[in-house]
Amino acid sequence: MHALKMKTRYLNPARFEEHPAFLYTIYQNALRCQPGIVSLDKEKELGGRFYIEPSVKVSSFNVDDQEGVMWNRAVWFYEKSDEKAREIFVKYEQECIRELEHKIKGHEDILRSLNLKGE
Amino acid sequence: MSNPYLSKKRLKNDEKYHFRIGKESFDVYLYSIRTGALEKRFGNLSKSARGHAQFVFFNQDSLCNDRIIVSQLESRVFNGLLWLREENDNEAKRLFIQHENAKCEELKEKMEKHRQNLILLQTTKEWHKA
Repeated sequence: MHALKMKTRYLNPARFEEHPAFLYTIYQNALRCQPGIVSLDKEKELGGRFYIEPSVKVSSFNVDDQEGVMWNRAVWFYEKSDEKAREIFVKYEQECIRELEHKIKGHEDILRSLNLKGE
Repeated sequence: MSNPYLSKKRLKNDEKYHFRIGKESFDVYLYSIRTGALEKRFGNLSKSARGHAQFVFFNQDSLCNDRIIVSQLESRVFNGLLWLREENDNEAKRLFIQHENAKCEELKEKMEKHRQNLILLQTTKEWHKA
């Protein structure tokens, strides 16, 4: 699927519009901001892709096609917005913790019931 | 520290002690957990694709007449199910408890990492220098 998406991007350059933007990710326990170009699908079928620059080799990242929405643990903005990015990442981590707590509770409930019925 | 029960190295070593299903099919007991209790079903097991096996119920009373995908290895929890060649409720219960404990530990480790990330995000204002 990924290869197909990349092929579509490569074969139909007119289908995608590009804008300069900033990509925010978490790398080595710290927030990282990288400038680059975001490529968006005009037909809204494929997600966004962020091309990081400047770098020795061209590296790219799958991102959401909307500004300020986290996807693939990355978020992008047209303008540099450090605090907004930090807030989004804080929310994301809090959501992850909440989800994991819920999952752990489920497993612990199963364990408790198994142990109780074993006694 | 990673969980030794779930690590790939350990799983490879474990395979020596498990019975692996071959070409032939045979009758087994399938165990699962439903509403916090152990559930046992009797049926036939045969080899399936992608390193798994499929279980077909003998009891036709139940509405579910589907094939269930289970592990090819005996006493390995997969898809929330495990099978044993002989009826042994206590062993099944022990294996499920072991599996659930391992899952809990794994999730707790993940949660700890997210907590550390959250603390870092809330306390330090430093940025990664690319």
